[in-house]
Formats: sequence, C-alpha cells, structure tokens
Amino acid sequence: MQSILPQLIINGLISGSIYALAAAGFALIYYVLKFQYFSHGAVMSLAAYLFFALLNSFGLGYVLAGILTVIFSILIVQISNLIVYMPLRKRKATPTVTMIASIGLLIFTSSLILAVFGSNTKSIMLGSRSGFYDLGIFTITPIQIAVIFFAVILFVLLWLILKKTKLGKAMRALADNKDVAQVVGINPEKIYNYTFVISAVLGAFGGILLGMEQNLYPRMGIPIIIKGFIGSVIGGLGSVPGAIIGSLFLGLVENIGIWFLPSGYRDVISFSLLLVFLLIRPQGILGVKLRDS
Amino acid sequence: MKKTILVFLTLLVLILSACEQQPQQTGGKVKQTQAQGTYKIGIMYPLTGDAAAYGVPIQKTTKYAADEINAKGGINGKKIELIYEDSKCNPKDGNAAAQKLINLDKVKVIIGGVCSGETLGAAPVANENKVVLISPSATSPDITDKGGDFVFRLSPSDAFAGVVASNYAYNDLKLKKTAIISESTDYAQGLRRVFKENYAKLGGEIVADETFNSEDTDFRTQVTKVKAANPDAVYLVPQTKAKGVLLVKQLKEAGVSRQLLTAEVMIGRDVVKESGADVDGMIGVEQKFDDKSSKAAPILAKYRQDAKEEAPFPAYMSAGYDIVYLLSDAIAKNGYDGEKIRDYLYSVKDYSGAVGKVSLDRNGDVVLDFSVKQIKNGELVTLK
Repeated sequence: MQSILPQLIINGLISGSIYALAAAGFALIYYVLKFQYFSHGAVMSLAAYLFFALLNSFGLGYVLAGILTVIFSILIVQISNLIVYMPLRKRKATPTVTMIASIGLLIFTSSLILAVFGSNTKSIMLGSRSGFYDLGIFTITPIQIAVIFFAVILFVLLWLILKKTKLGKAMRALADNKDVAQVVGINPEKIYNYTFVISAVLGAFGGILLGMEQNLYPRMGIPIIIKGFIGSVIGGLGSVPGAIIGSLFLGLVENIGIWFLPSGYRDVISFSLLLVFLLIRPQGILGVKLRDS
Repeated sequence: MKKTILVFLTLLVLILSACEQQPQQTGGKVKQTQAQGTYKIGIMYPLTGDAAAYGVPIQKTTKYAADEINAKGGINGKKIELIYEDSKCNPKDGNAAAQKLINLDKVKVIIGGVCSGETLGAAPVANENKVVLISPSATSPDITDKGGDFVFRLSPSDAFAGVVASNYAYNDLKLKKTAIISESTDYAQGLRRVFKENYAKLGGEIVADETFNSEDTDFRTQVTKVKAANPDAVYLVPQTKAKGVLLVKQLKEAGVSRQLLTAEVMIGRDVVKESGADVDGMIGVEQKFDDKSSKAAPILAKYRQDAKEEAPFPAYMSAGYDIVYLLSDAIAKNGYDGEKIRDYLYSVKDYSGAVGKVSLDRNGDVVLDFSVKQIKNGELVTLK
C-alpha cells in the first residue's frame, strides 16, 4: 500500500477536481438561487459533446474549440434560465418544483444528445497530448495535469469574484437575504443571470475536461452531477468552498477506498459516505446550516 | 364541472395507456404468420450502443443469406421475413426483445443474441414458449448447460478460448504471473473464470483480478492495482471494443508495458486497423476461421463493398449467414415449428458452412478450434 499511496492520492485529486467543477456550479446556484441545480450535468455533457464536434467535424484547434464551447455553454444556460427557471420564479415555484424541472432538463438533454450524436461511446482523440509522465512515485498524463491546473485556476477566480468584486458582493447579499438586497437596490434577475453565466463557465470547463479524461456517452451528465451533488452535500450544502472541499474529499475517499474493496464498489463508497454525513454531520465538513428558503 | 372533466380525461388517458400495454387485445396489431405467406424469423442483435459494433455487421450478413434464399423463391415458395429487435447486449433487453418477437410477432425461431448476456436473458422465454434461439456469436460457457433445450449456437464456447489463452500464456510465453481485468458481463466473466481456473492448474499465479462495470469509463484504480501487482502479463476481457480501447489507453498512460492478452474483441479487424500503437503486440484468441474459403470469401467481399470496410468479425458474420441457411433447411424439411426446427438442428452433422464444418452437439454447441493471433504493425498475425 505504501508505494501506491501517492498514485491513489493523485487519482483521488484528479477525480475530485472534476467532481468539484460539477459541484461548484451546482453549489453556486444553490447558494444564490436556492434550488438544486441538477441541469448543471446537462451543461457539462453538452459542453463535452460540442467540444468533440468542434474538434472532429470542424477540425478546430483546442483553444478555439474551447472558447467556442464556453460561449455556447453560456448561451445554453441563459436560454434554460429564460425558458425554464425565470418563469418558475415568476410563479413563485417552490425549490422542490424547480429541482424537478432541472432534473427534467437533465434527462431531456441526455435524450437530445442521444438523438443527435447516437448512442456509441465517443472519444476525443488526443494526438500529441497523449502519453504520460512517470515521476517514480506516480504517473500522470497531460490531461490530468490540465484538469488540476484548470480546476485550481477556476476556483481561485471564483473566490476572487465572490469575495473581491461588486458582483460577488451582490451575489452574497442575495444569497443572504433577498428582500433586503432588493431594498438596497440590487436587481435580482440581473445578478441571477451573472450567476448562471459563471456556473456555465465552470460547467463548460468541467465537461470538456471530463470528456478528454474519460469518454463521451449520452447519459454522461447524470453520474457526474450526482457525484457533484454528493460532494456538495458532504462539504456543506449552500457553500461553494464546501462543495469544492467535499468533492476533493469524495474523490480521495473513493480512490483510496477502492484499494481495499473490489473496484466495482466505487459508487457504494460514494453513497455510503453521503449517508454517513447525512446521518452524523448533515451540515457537512464546513458546518453550513441548512436553511429552508 | 371543470374538475369532473379533468377527472374523466385522466381516467380516459389511463384506460387508453393500459390498452397499449396489452396489444393482443387490440387484435389488429398481431400479425398472422401463415396468412401473410412468409416465414418469420426473429432477429435479436444489439443494434445501438457500443455492441452495435458487432450487431450491425452481423445483421448485414444475416440479411445477405435471407435475400439470397428469397431471390431463389424462398423456402418451398414462401419468402423469409426477418423481424429485427434491438437487444442492446444486456440480459434485460434480450429478454424483452425475445418476449416481443415471440408474443407479438409470433415467431417460432429467433437468431440471436450476439452477446452472451442477452442470449442468457432470452433463453428462459425461448424455452418456455418452445421457440428456437440460435446465436452466431454468444460464447459464454454458461450457455452450454444453462441455455436449455431450445438454445443453440454456431460459436464455440469460451470454455475452450480461456484454456487456449492461459495455455499459450503459461506454456508458450512462459508468463508465470498474470493480472486480469474483465467487464462484469456474462461473456467476460465466463472467460475470466475459465482462464483463472486453467492458469492456476498449470501453476501460474493470478496476481490481480479486477472487474469494471459496463457504464464505467474511469479504470484508473483497477489499472493502479494491476500495476502494483507487477504482473508478467495482463489478460483483458472487455465486452466491446469501445471499452477495450479506453482500458488499453489508460493502461499505457499508467506506464504498464506488460504483454497484453485478450479474447477476440480486441483483435476484431476494426480495432486492429484503428487503434494503432496502443494495441500493438496484443495477443488474442479467436475461433479458427478460413476467410478465404469458397463459402466465406464472397460474403466478406460483399460486406467490404457494402460497408466500405473490412469485416470486423468475419467468423461471427459468417455464422449469421450460415444460420439462416440452416434454418431454411430445417423449415423446408420439417416445417415451421419450434420443436421440429429444434429436432432438425440437433441432427446437424458436418454441415459445410461459411464458418467451417459444423456439427451441433447435444447441448446445442459447436466444436471448433481456436487460434492465437497477435497484432503486429496494424496487421493480425497467426501465431498458433
């Protein structure tokens, strides 16, 4: 076990980083808009497929394809806000109803992808970016390095936005108390829009990296958002840093746990961990009080 | 008033949808076999998903045979009608496909499944309804005894393939320690069991035995464990090439450079051509097949022309073709009846098919040889 521990930790950090990108988007929306944003999985899977299509069918380079994918994801999210979430808010829909709508979007998207792209598993060809680095105590591939690199950068940027910008302050104000925030002149819909945009960027990067690191298949959005959800709950539902920490923790526990258990038990470990936290520490690692909005 | 209308409409919708579930009652949907003047043969292959990589090519060659027979006037003047169902390479959908073909389309014989899982899933339904189920490619050892009276196959059992692979690894390549990575499907687990048992009997050591689920795409932990066990060789048993290619990629990325062994999926002609350096050197075991035989060559050439690619699984595709001819002989001689077709099939001895010379034994199995092949520079080279 000793010699493999570094590799398991690295594997855990890589999985955890991808979960964290899903969880951060999910948690951000929960934090500001107060509902379970499961359609974030749809954003991620659409981003992955779009990136794949831009690379393969249009022959674009990675950077251009990436930029276009992010732009497209922002558009998609704004459309979903316009068509689904805003009307629900207007009718004062409960968080449960909004959550169900988001699950509906998630399922709809996976069927849409199936219809457009077919059910065959697809891979993003890595060409010159394949191969790996053998660092003795562990090996790592360029894509895995990219996962950790982008995750770190995005989370730092997210933190900066939330803590240091006026937008972030407005988001936190809305999250804290919507009515008072409106009284001080914050326009909720405008801020909600920005929140969705930020989550779309997180989702786009998450989807692209997930697609490059693993495979693309139509239902891929569902398992990833489930893991993101679990990470978010473990870390403290309603807290964005909590979601990130919880997801990294989940990734580590899964990968180290699989060392001792048969590999098929990976999901058993995730859900057992979720159950343990719900039973013993429902406020999560960061101890966030669960609020009924 | 509005509420009453709503309640009434809801009840109406519920009643109508309940009707949909039992189409036998609507009458018009059920086709009468003899009345329409065709012999219906059900086909349950995986037509979507990763396993369609086998299902669709085999579907093509199966159809070639039916078209040929129909062009000559059919069976005793009556044409063959193939009815396709997508069994998606898993037991649940295999069962559903068989149910639909038997209960709705009223077929007396089904060609399929392609995967062992879907065949085993459909077997109980076939046996219960006295419908023949004959597969061109299902290879799990379980089908021999668990298949039942009405289940046949034109592909040899992996009970032999696993033995050949482990024998070659231990005796010929002198590899004493092997790690196994297998998918949790009936087919793959059958091979894993046979390989493990035989390899241990020879004196080899299984240093790691990892499995993965069909939905998984991240095998890094299994790969890490295999690497840590320091094997001489890794025996890979994926169900489909999509998973296999991903598995090989992640093995290489982790720095595992040991001899890779496999069954027949990863040495399918498409994998050999497309997967380049990653699979170079892989040794696989597939049934012995002469693709230049006078019967097989024209089928494969036709496929090459139609699909604009080399036949990925020539043996299974030829089996699909042969099965249609065997069934047509059975129906011509004994009539279109499940039990009579079954009896005919049990009597098949030394039939010269595109797949080779076949005889069906009392378990509905064929006995065919296996050969060991290696991927070298994008070509498949026969070693033994």
